Amino acid sequence: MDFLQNLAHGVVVAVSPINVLLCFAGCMLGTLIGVLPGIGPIATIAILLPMTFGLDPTAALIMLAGIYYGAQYGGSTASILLNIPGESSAVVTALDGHEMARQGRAGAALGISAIGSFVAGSIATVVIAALASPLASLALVFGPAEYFALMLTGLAFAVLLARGSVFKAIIMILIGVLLSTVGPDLTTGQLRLTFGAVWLADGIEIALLGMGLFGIAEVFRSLEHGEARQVKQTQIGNLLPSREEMRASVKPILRGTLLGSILGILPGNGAVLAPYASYTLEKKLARQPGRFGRGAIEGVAGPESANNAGAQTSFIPLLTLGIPPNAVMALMVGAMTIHGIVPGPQIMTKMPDLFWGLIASMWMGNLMLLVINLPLVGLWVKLLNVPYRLMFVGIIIFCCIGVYSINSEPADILIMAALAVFGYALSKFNFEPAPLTLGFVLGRMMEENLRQALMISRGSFLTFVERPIAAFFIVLAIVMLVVGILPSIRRGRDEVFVD
Amino acid sequence: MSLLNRDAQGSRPAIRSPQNFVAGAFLIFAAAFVVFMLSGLPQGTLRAMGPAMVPRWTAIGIGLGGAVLVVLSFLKEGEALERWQLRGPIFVLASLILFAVTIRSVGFLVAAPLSMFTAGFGSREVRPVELAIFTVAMTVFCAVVFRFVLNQPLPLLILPAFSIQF
Amino acid sequence: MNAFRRPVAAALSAVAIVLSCTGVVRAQASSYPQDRVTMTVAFAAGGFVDSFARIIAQELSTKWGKPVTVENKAGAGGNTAASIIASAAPDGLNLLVTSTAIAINETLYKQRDYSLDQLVPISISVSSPETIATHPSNPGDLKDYLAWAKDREITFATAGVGSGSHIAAEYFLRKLAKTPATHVPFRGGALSVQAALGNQVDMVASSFGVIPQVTEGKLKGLAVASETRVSAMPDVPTYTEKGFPFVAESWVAVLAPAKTPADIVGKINTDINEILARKDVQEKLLGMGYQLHKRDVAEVSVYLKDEVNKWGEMVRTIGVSVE
Repeated sequence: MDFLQNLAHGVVVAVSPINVLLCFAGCMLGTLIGVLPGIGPIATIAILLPMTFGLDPTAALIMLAGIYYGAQYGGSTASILLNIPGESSAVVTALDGHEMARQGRAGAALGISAIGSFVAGSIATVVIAALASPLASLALVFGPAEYFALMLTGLAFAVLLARGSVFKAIIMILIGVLLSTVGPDLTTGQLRLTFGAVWLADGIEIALLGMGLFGIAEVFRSLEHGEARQVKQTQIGNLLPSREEMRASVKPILRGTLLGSILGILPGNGAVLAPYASYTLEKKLARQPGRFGRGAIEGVAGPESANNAGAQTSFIPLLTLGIPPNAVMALMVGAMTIHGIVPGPQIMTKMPDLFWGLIASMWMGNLMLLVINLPLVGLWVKLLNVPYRLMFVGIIIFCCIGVYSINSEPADILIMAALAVFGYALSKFNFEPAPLTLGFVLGRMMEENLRQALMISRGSFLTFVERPIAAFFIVLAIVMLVVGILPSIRRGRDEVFVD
Repeated sequence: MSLLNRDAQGSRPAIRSPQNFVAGAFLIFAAAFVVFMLSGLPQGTLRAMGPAMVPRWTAIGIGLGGAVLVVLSFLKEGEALERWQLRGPIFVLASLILFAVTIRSVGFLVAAPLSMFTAGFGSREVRPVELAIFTVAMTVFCAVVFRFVLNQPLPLLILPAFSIQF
Repeated sequence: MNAFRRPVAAALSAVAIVLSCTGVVRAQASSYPQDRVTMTVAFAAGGFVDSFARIIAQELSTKWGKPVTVENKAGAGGNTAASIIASAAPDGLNLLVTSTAIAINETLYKQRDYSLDQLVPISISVSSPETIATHPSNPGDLKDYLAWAKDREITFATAGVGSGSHIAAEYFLRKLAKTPATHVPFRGGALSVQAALGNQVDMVASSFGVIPQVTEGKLKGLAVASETRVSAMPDVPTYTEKGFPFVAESWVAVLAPAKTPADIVGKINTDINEILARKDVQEKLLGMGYQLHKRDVAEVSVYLKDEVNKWGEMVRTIGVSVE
């Protein structure tokens, strides 16, 4: 058990008073900034990055990792309380989390999210410590053909994600895919569907989609109903999940952790799938799938754990291969660069202090999150007592600042406004925006990987059959689709199309 | 006579699910528009795809979905159109547009209160004095937090006439 | 209402303070900078250009005693940021940090809404040569590799269409080595390196991104496009050594609006050079495989002109263009 020794060494590095303090400060600041609606983890890390400049590299990375966890958790808080997801994983949390909040169970939703994240984080830390290097080389087996097949499976999940009509969900996925093609074509550099507008020339940011389609559209819906639609105020003694809720969450948390840990290892940003996959899985396994989307605690516990486990294991490709799997990890590379560290295979061998210290600090960060956030739950829930007539004004200004801080581009605010109108219209026609988000997130990656795979195979579609992993996922996707659509067909043709 | 509503005699209208009919018609229109906008781009072949391949066929799929909804709207009973409350969206949209227009030209200290004050009227329960105070407090809070504590590139006040750029 | 009285007072006094701080800005080198300096980075946060900007911004702000903020303004391959700075106030408070893209885009893009004449280069001090590398299971010597590649139309991965790596590699393969190859663009350099690590593609073209992989033996470096070998990977030969006289380097440039006073441009150039001469800063940059160049303003300007011509020639040869 070599890794236990290493992990012990890491713990020694991580628990030095200064590192504990920095980890705490990082989690705290990350939560506080990340909870502001409209400010996602990327913006939070970019905003707080300069604070780490003066520190030594290990301490700086420990603090940054803390900021990252804090920001993620803060983002979940915002999406549970106000339905403003700043990134694609928070979209899933909001599905049932915000429903819970509206039923006066905000405390339970926030609590289970913190607890689930902690459990997932703790397990994922051990996974990283034990298996980082073998897993990393395994992940390299995934080429464009495998990623395409994986993403296809992900889209099949999206069909099951829908609460209502499967047919409408498929249309929503297609619209998401279509929106993701706006901007330059990766393979030729040609612009598509930008209407000659400079501010569309780089496509649509996922944060805009989250804030427009969900956040501001939710504001529209709430204003329509006046104070009546406001989130119910939580009774005080009800801040934490009840024993029953805890019991219902145990298995979702463990399953979510497993899914997230596996998907997070893939260098091609497989982690985006984790919360969606977990949600679908829980909905399929549930005895009454109808509760999902109406405040089912499993729908918060599973995806939040999957997300946190994935966030954790996505450090594996970064630390062992030097490949950042997503934008947040790219920012971590930038931070390492500033501290003179070149991410790559040599980190583990040449800088054991940093490597194992960082891994041990991951566990510490998750503990901090729990310590910081369980008491904060009460505070967040109290914030809901601000009258909605003022609260929504605050939401709007934070969304404006959040969007503007991404790219200093005022036109992005207009795109968000347009998406908000679209999101409002969707609810008027009984369409759900969640499958659209997944279609958007996966659409671009799917198209790119498909075309890359075909270039590499010189145009032969056999590549998807000859490569066993790709073939496996394509079969899985077909099975998922059948599982998703068949029950509705059996229920009678009407119900496929009407709710 | 009316397509969308039952007439006085209570006879069944031609369109039995107005919601699906309007949604489907919109999807067909939007898909056609996208296909038209893509007309200048090469599609390539299935083996060597061009830039238009994926968006065009996705749009065609959406259009077909819309067509199915339209057909169904004549066959199956469905929900009526929901009413749109315009007060909230109009004030909020106006506020977003105001922010977008003024943030780079006049700066945050003008853009933020302007847009927040406008947005506030989107609620029927608006109380102007309370809103004004909230607006000022939030402006100062955000300016201090984002510009000074977090050092974000947020233009605070730009008044070219007085050579002020802050 | 009572609860609101205190916020009102606080709000009013804060507004007063904010207004009284606002001053008239005049540009002069002796007292430069009198106010916050904004470095607009032409790419998203996290890339090398961004990291370099942040290192420099941090050091300059200590040196000048005024805040230097980094603002990311990615878009249109770097053109969005360039056009913003091209039309910004020439007071030295608005700087552009960009890459080789500023030279490449002169030829690559059919249209841009700025002209390079609207900008004055201040500093081009770090560079990294374009490198090609392959999976260790393939031939590792450039000559052997090309012989092996001749009869199998190899695939090569890059950070994207029109990136320096794409242009340099395609120019080398097509014009110099006369080897047919299929270009597989990826979204960013990291993913292209990943494809080569898993032997999904036959070759990867990148600059500093492959260095850690090559030093660790995960990839074999075939050639670097610099005049001398790179100290971080001394075993990798230059193209010239292998009989192909070919130099192509990616670099980071700091520019300002063209009308910025010459003494301010000079001062920023001197200050950046001073920072880059420091041992701790040098160690960071060299460790990443970057090469450092001390150039004064006149040299920078000549270098940029040469680079525009050189990359322009390559872009025209391989016949790639972007709207």
